[in-house]
Amino acid sequence: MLKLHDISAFYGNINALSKINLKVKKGEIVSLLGANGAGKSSTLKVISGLLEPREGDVFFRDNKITGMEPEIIVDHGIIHIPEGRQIFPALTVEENLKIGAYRIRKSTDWRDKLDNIFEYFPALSDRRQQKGGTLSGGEQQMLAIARGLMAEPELLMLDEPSLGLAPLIVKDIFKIIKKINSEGVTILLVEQNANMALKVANRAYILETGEIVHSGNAKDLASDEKVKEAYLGSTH
Amino acid sequence: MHWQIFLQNVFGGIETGSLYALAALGVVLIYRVSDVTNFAQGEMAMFSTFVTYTIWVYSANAGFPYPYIAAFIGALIFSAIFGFLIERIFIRPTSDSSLLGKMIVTLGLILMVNGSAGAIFGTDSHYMQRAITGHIRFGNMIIRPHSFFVIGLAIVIMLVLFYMIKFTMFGVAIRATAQNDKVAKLMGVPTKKVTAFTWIMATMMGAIAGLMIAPATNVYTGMMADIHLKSFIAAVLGGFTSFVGPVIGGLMIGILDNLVGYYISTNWQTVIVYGFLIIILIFKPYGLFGEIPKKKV
Ligand SMILES: Nc1ncnc2c1ncn2[C@@H]1O[C@H](COP(=O)(O)OP(=O)(O)OP(=O)(O)O)[C@@H](O)[C@H]1O
Ligand SMILES: [Mg+2]
Repeated sequence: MLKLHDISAFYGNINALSKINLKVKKGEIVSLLGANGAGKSSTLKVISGLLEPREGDVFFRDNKITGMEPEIIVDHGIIHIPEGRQIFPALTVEENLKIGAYRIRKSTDWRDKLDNIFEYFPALSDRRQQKGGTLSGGEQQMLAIARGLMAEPELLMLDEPSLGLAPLIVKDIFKIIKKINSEGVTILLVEQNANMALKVANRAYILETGEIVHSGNAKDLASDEKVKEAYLGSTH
Repeated sequence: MHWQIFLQNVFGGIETGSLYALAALGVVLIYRVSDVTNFAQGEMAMFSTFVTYTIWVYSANAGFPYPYIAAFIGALIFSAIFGFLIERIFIRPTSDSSLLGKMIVTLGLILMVNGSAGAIFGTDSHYMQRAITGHIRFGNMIIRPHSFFVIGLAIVIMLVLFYMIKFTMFGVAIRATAQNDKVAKLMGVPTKKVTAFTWIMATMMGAIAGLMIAPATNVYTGMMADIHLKSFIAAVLGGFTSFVGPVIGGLMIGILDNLVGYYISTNWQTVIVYGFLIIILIFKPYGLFGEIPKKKV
């Protein structure tokens, strides 16, 4: 469904990605792991059009989407939920969800989707008229995911959705990600929480300073000694 | 009678105040969406008014039965195109520059627009007709139907604008773009189109304000200087971060201006209006309805 071919990307002279090759098949959950500064977010930015790669191509369902404007890429069905739960703080919960439905505004009334969304995120339903900025961190992350779902994405990319959240909420979030996937949405998940990410994922890629150093089946990677040592805090 | 004169001044203040409000809303709309302070809003409105005036004169001379309506529609069409072109040619290419850089761009626009208006239309002052001519007397009060037209038109424009911003998908897209344009893009909002649209809207509102004030100021290259300044005062007074603030600010400035001009002296008008703004800003640094700006992430 998604294919990155030899992607290299730069911020000025800083080489953030070198020759990245990556594939996501329809229906999968694929995790992208790596330490701080490895290039995880940059990879998502290249896919969603925020960062234009210097070399290589991005294909989505056989269309070349390299270098397209982000809003056009959204139209293709890719939604990128950026790191740091960037909801619109001065918009209400409902308005945040409404803008999420921008992509499908012509075909669907955004209100018709609310019930379905609140099934995933019951906590949000009591806070419809509350300003986004007044929600707790966990609620804001829920809202960020909910807002992305409103667009009816075919591929949902989440950038560190568990960052800075309490373990219980992290568990909730991973459950929700699995549920979203079970309803047919393909998922590309960026995480530092490698344990959890490998548990939910079918496959995973591991980035190190802009290069993919491991990839494969999530289960195999989770039991790989080298990976364990470097990313899973194992003491073997 | 005394109270009638007072009322007449208040009414006149509401009339000019609603024009300040229109112009101020245009400035605030652009500022919020593209972080640009459009110091050229007044000059752009002046240019549009010259075009409108020209259409009015030509269609009257050509024997068109409703030259004012032709001019009004012409004003809307011209200003929409004008706003679109200014955004495309001057604003979009410089959208990545610093705040100071963007300010210099619109300051430069003042000179360019004013200079071209002088070159194209000349420096003479021209009479422009009111939308509705004549006046009505209530005792000592003289009220022009044109005033009702101006206030009514301003109210309708503002209501449409507020409804759009508050309730429509495009309005939420405008507010989302104003808060965080990168994330708005990630939700599929065409932020460049949103920005262009706000320039078109603001330029149209400025053109209408220009056309409505023209009977009082005449049409000439300096016609918008006062209303432009007052609209900025209105925007700062009401608060740049709110859409209601500039409207209230505009009305307050309009009424205060008129009352001071009548009861104290026209010489002190501007000084007192400025003084009023300063006092308000001491107590409400972000304006009456402004909020402390949140940092964009
Ligand atoms: N806007 C930017 N300007 C310059 N350099 C950047 C920018 N964003 C990222 N970088 C650099 O690119 C490299 C990859 O960054 P990226 O944000 O993709 O890492 P990451 O894997 O998402 O890290 P984290 O886990 O901390 O979010 C880093 O060296 C970083 O310093
Ligand atoms: Mg990151």
